[in-house]
Amino acid sequence: MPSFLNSAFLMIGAAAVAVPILIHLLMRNKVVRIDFAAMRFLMESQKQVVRWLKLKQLLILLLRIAAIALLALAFARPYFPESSALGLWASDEKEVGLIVDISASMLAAEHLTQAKSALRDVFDGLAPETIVSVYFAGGHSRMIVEREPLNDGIEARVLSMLQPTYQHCNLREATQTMDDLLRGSALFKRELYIISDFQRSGWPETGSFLQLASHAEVKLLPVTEKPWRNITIIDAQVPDETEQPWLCTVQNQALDVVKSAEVNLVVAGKAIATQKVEFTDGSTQVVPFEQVKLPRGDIAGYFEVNVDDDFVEDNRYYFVAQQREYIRVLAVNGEKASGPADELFFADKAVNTHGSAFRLIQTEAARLDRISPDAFDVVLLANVTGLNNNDVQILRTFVRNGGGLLIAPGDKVDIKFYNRFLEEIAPASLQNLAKPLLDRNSGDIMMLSNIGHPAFDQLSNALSNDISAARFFQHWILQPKVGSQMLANFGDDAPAIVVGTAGRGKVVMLSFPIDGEWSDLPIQTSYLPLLHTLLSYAQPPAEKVQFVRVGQPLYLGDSFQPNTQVEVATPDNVVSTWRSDNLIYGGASLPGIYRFQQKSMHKNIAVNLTTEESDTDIFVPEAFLAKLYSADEQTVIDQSQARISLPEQQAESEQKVWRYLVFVAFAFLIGESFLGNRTPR
Amino acid sequence: MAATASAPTRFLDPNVIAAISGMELRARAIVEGFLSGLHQSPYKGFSVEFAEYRQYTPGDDPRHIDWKVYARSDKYYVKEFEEETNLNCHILIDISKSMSYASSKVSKLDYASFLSASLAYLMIRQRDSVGIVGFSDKIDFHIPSRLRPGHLHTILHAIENISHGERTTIGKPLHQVADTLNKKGLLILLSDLLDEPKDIIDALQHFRFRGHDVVVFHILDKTELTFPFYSKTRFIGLEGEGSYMTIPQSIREDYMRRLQDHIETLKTGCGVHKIDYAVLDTSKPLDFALQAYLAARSGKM
Repeated sequence: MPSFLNSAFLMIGAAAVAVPILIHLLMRNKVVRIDFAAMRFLMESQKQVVRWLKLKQLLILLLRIAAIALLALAFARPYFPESSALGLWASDEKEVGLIVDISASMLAAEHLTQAKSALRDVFDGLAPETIVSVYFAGGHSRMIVEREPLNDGIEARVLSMLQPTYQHCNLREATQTMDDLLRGSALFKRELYIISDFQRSGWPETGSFLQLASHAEVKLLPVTEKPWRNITIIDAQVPDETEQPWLCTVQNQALDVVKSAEVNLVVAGKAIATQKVEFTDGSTQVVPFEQVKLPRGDIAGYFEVNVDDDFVEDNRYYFVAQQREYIRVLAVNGEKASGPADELFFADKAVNTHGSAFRLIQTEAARLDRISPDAFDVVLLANVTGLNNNDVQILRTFVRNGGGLLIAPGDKVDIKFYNRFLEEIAPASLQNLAKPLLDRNSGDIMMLSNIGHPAFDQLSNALSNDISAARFFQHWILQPKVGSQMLANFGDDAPAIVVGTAGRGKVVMLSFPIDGEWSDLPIQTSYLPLLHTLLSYAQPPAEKVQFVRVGQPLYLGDSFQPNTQVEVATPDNVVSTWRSDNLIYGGASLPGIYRFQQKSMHKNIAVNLTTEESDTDIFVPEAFLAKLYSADEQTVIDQSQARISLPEQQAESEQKVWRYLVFVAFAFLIGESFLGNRTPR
Repeated sequence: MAATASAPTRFLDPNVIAAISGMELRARAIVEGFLSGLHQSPYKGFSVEFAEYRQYTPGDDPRHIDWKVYARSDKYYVKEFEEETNLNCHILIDISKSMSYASSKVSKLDYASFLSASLAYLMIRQRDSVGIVGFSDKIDFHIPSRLRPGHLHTILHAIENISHGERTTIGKPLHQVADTLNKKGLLILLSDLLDEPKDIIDALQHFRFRGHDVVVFHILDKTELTFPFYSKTRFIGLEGEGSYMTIPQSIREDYMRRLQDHIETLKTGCGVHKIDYAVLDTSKPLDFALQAYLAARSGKM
């Protein structure tokens, strides 16, 4: 017998049923009486009509009563409790869902072997043709088998595909997915098996509890009963500056077993440093590597802790670092000469010193087309008269893409060229020469007007004061553009150094040349640091090192061209080509170094295991099951429970008997309407 | 509208006539109203035949005093003449209970009464002798045809005092009437004819056999002709047929078919025997029946 959630509607329905009966009775008595003469024409057919009419009216009455009764039943929300469920529910057939954890932690200890064994046991315990679904949780979680009758082929297929990924597993999400599937099962008996190491990190605290709507019997099959021994490198810091130490953070989750370990720093396949770590004062230790001498340029390597634990995959921490070798300066000489008369005579000596962070290459405007500026960090236009259109275009592109430009105009420059062709990228325009050449004993002085600007980062206070010692006999009058900044000026407030940006590049414009023709700056002590700091400021910023976990996307940055072929070398040395319009590589499924190459551009990105997978804190089954609630939020599932009792509301919600009742009621009402329109009152 | 309402023809409306008291007045109103619409006089030639003497009384026209008798007897006698009739007419009026049916103020019997009074009045005015027979399942009253002065009053008095008879049985009383009428003439039957068509036709054939001309006015109420009933109704027979509850909507089609069959049978039967037959709706004016009478009379003159 069905039960009802809102049985009050049954009473209301019983009262409502009386309405059509009363109407019927009242209408039946309402008969007009007429004395009539032409009875002979009525008497022959009316008996049959009245009989059929009574039958139709009775039928209409029954339809009305039935419709009202059915609507009342529908509002009462009937359901069939389990004991008297439909035959389909009462059958012994069942649907089984299996969740198999294939996260990285399943590579630890004997987890994988145990998982396969558990999987076999489950399959062996099921009757043939049992409807089975298998969901692999971890990485790109997916349904391996969806509602197929069990056979040997399925078992073999699942076992052959069971290979852990290096990614994280969200058991809550997996349970929700399988619960959704089982909820739609046509069978009443449902079982949900979860094969996992049940890491606590696999159950996000956000939305901690999960309502199960399928009423499946949940069975947990842990692959381990206790935490596994695990020592892992959870973080590392690789400094930009060689003077700073390299740091590696090691966590020991088996403190009672492992007391010490060795950590190696491996770069380009070679171990270049080793540190011993003692865990006597805590489970997490930061291991510093002092005085690490590495060549400049891009380097890739890893820290590795040498210890015998149960999960070796997280014993390495990969990194890449960008130790810039030189700031490469392409100097375009506008006044080639011998000796001090050469435009770059002093600059070359100031920059190309031994041990300098700069490497200055000279060229001339006429030969500029033979050298690609892309190979340099900064271009220096030293009293250059002008450039041809092609070189101007290349220079604009170079600056917009992040390259630096230092403009030092002298007596050779073509003012029209600068103001017309370089107007887009230059921070100021040339107006005119300030004054005629004066006596060498007098002259204007230059003062730094914005000493805190990053362009002067490498300029000490003492040296900044020395700048005012230089005497300028002539300079250009600059007209700074909106958005540019004046860093230095002369005594008459005329701009001396103006900086600005163009695209991603920085442009520094002087109002004087960098030789000794218009000033005695080159022979001042401040000349070298001033040139160094301005060139350093103009250089492209160092690209930020990405810290990426397995499964996260890799961004190649703006230096790569979109929609252009990129060669990708994965950590397992598989080389392939790839192209993308947004330069986001989404296929990082392994820990290690990913190498990307596009023409002269290259980039290394280190990818490491997610730290959640290194966490050995696991649920005991009871604690895990406590996370699962039945849909009515009343019954907590526990492991010993053979079956979750069917909550009334949930049963009603699933069976939706009311829908059928409403449907039939409407069918009756349509029939009543049809019949009523054809039945005289 | 005012002119129409005040016109004499309004007295052709049965509902208006019903409001008039006195059958003679009704008959006069009907006939005068009817005649006012005619252009040609319906009256034909007539002759006068001596009947008797009677003593003069004040008020008599002195022109009618027979001076020869006065010379012989020294008393004033007035000559009375028996007017010679053109046509011998009999009005047969059905007074069975079914004729009392009325859906408005005027029952079929009222309508028949108005009509018979009007016809009698018209007949007397044009010097036709007229008699009247009331029947139901038997002859309830019979006033032989006369043309004597005062006969109209007798007829109208009889019409005014008609009381309902019993069931409609047309055949038997009509045969009886046919046997009693020796002089050929015009026979006008006013009835709802709710009887077996064969019996009715047989009786009418009897009249034809005896040389009478017959006009049949089949008087039916409007509701009998249209059957405009909708809600569940219990019909009670006026002649003791019992009561029957039915849904008029559901049987209307059948009813109308049976009624039309009945009318068609009568119409055909009358046509075969050269009997004028007309269906009269009691809601319609009376002039149609009067027209029919005049048409039938003109055929005899």
